[in-house]
Amino acid sequence: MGFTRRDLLKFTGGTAAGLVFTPVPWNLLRDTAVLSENWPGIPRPADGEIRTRYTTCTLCPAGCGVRARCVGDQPVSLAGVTGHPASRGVLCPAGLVGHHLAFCRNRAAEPLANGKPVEIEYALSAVSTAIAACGPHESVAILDPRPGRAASLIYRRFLAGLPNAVHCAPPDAQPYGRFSIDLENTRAIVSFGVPVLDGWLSPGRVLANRGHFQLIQVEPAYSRTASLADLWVPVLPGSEDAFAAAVIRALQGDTSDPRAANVAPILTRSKPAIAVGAGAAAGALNAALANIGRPGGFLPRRDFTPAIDIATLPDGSIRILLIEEGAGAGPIPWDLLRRKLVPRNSVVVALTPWLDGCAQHADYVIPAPMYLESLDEAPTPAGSTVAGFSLSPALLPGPPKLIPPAEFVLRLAHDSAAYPDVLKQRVAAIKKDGRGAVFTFPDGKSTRVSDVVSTGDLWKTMLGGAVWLDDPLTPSSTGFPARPVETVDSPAPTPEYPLVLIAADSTPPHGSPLMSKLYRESGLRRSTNAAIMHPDTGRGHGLADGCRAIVKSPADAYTVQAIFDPAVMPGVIEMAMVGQAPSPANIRRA
Amino acid sequence: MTKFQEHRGKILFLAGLLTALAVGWRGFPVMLFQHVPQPVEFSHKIHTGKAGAKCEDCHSLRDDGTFAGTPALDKCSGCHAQPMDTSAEEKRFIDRYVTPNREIPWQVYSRQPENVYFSHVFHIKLAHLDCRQCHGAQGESDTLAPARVNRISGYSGSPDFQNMAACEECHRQRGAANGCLACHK
Repeated sequence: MGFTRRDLLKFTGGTAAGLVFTPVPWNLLRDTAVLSENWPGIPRPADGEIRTRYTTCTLCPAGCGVRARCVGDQPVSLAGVTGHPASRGVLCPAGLVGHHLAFCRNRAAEPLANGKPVEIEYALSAVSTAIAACGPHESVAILDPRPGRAASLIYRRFLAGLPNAVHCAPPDAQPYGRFSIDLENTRAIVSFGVPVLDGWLSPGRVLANRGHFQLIQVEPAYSRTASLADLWVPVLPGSEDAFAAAVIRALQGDTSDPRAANVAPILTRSKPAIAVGAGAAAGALNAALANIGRPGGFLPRRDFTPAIDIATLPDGSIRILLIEEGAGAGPIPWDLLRRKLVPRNSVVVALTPWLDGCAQHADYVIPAPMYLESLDEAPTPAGSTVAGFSLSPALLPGPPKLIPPAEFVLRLAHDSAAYPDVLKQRVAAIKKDGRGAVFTFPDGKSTRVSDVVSTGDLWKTMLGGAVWLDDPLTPSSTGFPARPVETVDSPAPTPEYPLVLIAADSTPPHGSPLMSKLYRESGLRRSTNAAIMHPDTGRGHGLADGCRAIVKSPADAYTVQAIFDPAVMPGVIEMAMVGQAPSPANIRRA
Repeated sequence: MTKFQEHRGKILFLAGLLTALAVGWRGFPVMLFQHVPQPVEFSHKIHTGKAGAKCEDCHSLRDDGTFAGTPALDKCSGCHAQPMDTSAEEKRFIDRYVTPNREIPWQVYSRQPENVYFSHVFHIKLAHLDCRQCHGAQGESDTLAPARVNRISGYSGSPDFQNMAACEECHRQRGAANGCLACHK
């Protein structure tokens, strides 16, 4: 009997079974995966001289110091700067990989007009012509995400030469006005929805001080910050003012509200305390806590350039809108901006590194350098008790057609000055004032500005990696008188609309839910049409997890996918709507 | 029907199984790696013994903390500009490399992949590790073993190549950072 096909199959079967018990399949899997790391086209750091260079992160207002390990012209790893007075040696996940942003496929690399590539001179000429053609009741506006910088001064000088122009900022650009937060001496924070432990102020500063303040997180969802807070108080959206009033009454002895009765003893024994958050609730509580202008509370700072909130401008009043995107600010609410534009013939110019965001709605896209591609300024770190300034020197060469937003405006103004010259003027002003000290990153030393020999030396020091911090103002022992705070009527649920619809952050931190180890499970399933709710709320309205549903509010209706998440308190629906106020709503299966 | 014919299927299956086990455990490791001889028959024993050299005399840390690695030719030609004894291997070395001033293409046993950041200065100065802990008794060897190079991945398979599991285990035992970014920048 010969060797048949059946015999071959049996032998092969035995071979296959035997191979599973040998290193062969596992080694082949591992080694071919490793092989794929070395294929052509896989980027790899160049070999070459290794240098350490210093800069300041401008991805957000925290202004963290950055130590970059560079091979030739290429930064290959970023780390914090030990001893940095603002960032305390910490870099967040976005800061650690900021040097990858320049390779983002979605970046703007050349000027565009209505989506088509053009030369920069064409864009300049077209925008200048449009500005010149503005009517007497039509204004030119520049939306500045971080007022108070040297770039802001350039914008204001340009706008001052126009008859009807306004320098404005997004709604949340200056959340604390001229006040800073004395976090080092605060002993309790009542946060109305502010992500205190998840990207607030400078993360390193918050972490360094976390051990000595109690955190009470007041918000409807069990957010990342709520999960690490000392106390989470879920309140229905729109009832924050009432809760703040109940806490104030509890501080005075009225413990009828059990949740407020839990919070008041914490605030009594942990003083000084502050409240943070948008709306009247935080303001009312701060007035009661008498923390304005006092140590451990909100301290005034020397530098503050107030900017007009674009939300306060009349609708339909802006003809030409230049939007600077990036510069460490959050997403720009396009719906709000659109309302401010004239109904016809408006011109939107996006000065941006990205092709998404405002560039999608802009008539002209002017490609701005990405972080680390050009010399820039990092102004006072968010919440710092003193004014600050540092330079963010470039570490990477960028594509040739980039133009910093401030340079574009200088060219619009036919100003022969270059942006670095304006930064030098800022450094010269610091030297002239003679206040404060400069912390140098390479050696971790602090030098009084008055001990720096010349402006040239100060400029060179800043370029080599340094931060200037002003001398503090002396806090008042009596504080500032609190202004009366208006309460805002909040929409209450009704039998027809028994739920409350709130806007959830549509993008997870740093663009990916995996950039934080504290993600909510629903964060992995989030999409623009997701409606997140507590399972009891969903089932109570006849829904199943993942089913299609319709969310209706008095103003609008949305077709959504219902996602159950016990981290959201019952009675609340979270949806991805940037900047919209809470509203009553109902939901039913589609 | 004979017993063999009765159990033919099972016997063939078993034969295949045993063949796979033999090939997988004996043949595959041999085939997977190619053995690349070192370009010079170098004796650590003579250099650390008779010549009295220590590891750091040739494998040193530079002033900026970077590791010099395998010494360059000038380190060897500092002593071997002329033959120091009568061995044929030394003469061959001088003729092939010292006289024409040609760098020696050493095979590096412990080169890590491109995506790994390893710093000798941290491990020597901060962790106070001895060279032998990772590189074994290399300093006492009389010859250099051929380098084992994985034919598929191109990485080293030599005994003193520290793979990720070995690094993690040592870090775990000593309480050192074991997160991804500790080694993969």
